[in-house]
Amino acid sequence: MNPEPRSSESSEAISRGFQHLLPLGVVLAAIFTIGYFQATSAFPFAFDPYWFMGTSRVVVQSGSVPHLEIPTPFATTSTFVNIGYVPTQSTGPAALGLLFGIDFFAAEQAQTTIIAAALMLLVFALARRITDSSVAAFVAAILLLTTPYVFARWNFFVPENVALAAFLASMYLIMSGNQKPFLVALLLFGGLAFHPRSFIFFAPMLFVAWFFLGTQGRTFSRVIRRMFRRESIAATATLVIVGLPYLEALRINLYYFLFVGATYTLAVSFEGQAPSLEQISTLLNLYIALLAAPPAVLFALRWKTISLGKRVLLIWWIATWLMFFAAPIRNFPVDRFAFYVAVPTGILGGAFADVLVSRFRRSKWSRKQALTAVIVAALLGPAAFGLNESPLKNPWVAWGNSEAAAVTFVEEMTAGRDDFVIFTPEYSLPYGYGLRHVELREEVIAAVLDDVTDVSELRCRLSEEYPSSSTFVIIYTNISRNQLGTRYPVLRAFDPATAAFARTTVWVYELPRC
Amino acid sequence: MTLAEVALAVIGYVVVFLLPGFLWTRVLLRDRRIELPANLAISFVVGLILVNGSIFFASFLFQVSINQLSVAAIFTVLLIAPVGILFRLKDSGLLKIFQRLLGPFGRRLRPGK
Repeated sequence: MNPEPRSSESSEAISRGFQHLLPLGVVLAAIFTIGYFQATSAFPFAFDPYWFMGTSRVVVQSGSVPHLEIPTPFATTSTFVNIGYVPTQSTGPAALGLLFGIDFFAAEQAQTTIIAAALMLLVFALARRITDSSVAAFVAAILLLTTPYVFARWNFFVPENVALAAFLASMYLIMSGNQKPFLVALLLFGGLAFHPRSFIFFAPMLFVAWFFLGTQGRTFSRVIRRMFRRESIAATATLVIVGLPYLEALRINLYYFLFVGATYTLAVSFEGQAPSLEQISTLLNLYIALLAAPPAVLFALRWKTISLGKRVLLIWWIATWLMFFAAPIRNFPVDRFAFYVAVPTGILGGAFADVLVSRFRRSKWSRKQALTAVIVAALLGPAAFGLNESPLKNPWVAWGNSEAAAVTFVEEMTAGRDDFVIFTPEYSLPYGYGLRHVELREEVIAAVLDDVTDVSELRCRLSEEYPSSSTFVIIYTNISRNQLGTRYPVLRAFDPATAAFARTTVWVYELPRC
Repeated sequence: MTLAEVALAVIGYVVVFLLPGFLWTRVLLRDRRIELPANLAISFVVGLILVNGSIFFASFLFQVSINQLSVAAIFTVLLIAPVGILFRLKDSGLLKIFQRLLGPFGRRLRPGK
């Protein structure tokens, strides 16, 4: 179906509003783009494109897309393991390099920047579809862009973007009535092939989107009203309940920022909630079972005679279980969460801006004043990013099962002790595992690593820095070793044979005092 | 890295990803109108999935070596196929056959009013 025809008055208002905001949007986009490209010189060791640039080189040199293992000398270590990723992300720069001889790094940056633009456009279109307001759509797009900045995890645009963009595109097609199943399937599953773990995050959301937004001409206020209808209240409640655990990330980050002196966003591990028999008896499970099981049985028995609305309830039931099993998955770092949460933040922020503008209009504020307020709101994101004190605004993120095992090992090793300090260049170290005495001040980490060249020097330097600690626990992964090792040679000086814990991608060392 | 290299990379992305994506989107959403910003973004994402996915599966499933020739061939097929569907086959009725070949995926879920 074609989009709903808007009245000429409404279209005119939208055009006027957009004309005011367009120059600002261009300026902001230019600032972000310039900042992004300048990152090559400012943070040369902590920049995701280097990773994909390396993989692109492997593609071109080996003649095949790496999917399992690459023998040396192509890989920097003996194995090249992609945990859950189809590395098509780096195939793009490789293809460009082969076709046009373009530098991999430039190609990777162009890809990231263009996908960021595509994401902004999609959120813009989605928000305009929902709110019917260009102002709201503009704010939504800006918020989408700035939310990862606030969390200082811009690099998550690189591995995650295609899955997210495909999800948004699918959502847009559903919302606009352009429900071409083949294209939706291509977008969703093709995009998820770039990041299979995203599927378990996005699939329930797509069900919900289909449920709430699937009808032509549904505005944001109608969606909200629909969410609180009798037949929808269970689905809404489920969304809220499933979403609550994610607030833990916010709580932990606030705590560490305010009371521990952390200068960067912490990666919170959401503990897995794969239901066991014991957990089935918990209140939450009981709620879901009581609420969902009887209608499910009823629907199964009377499928052919029940109404469309009740069939939708069945979809809700399936989505609930999907979300319950899949959404609070293990090892879902806050970085990725922050990135995904940028989408609803953007859309809700846009809707809020819409309300704001219409209120100003009613209260006889001038359009200029209203727009100023919206612009100020849109600038809050970049401002927050500027206030982030991290010297490494694009830290490497290396997170997988091995890292989880390493952190669990450290947790067990340090249980019941207080005479240690965990000192690690892994800025993505997962928190939420009960780790204590972690050095979170990046400037201290950088200063210590800068001063030493071998392990014995590091021990002495750490002994100076932490006079009351008798043991120092060092954790690093192969990515930080390879990338940060250029700047901090001590990271390459460790002997893997002496590691307390060793996997192919992560090592833990326990160093006594000097 | 010079500005010219960056510009070339951006233009390269537009050619290699946006163009096939746009054409395939035209094929798949032939009689449907969507907003320009969304159309552009969806085109780019579709192109990214098709081009990168084709290269990956050519290598992963069919053991095709990734070199200049194979990548150029994949890119050309992805570019020419939708053009053929849109223009050459448009009047011959083959487009309907193509849509029927897609089975339920080729039909509209909700016919337009």
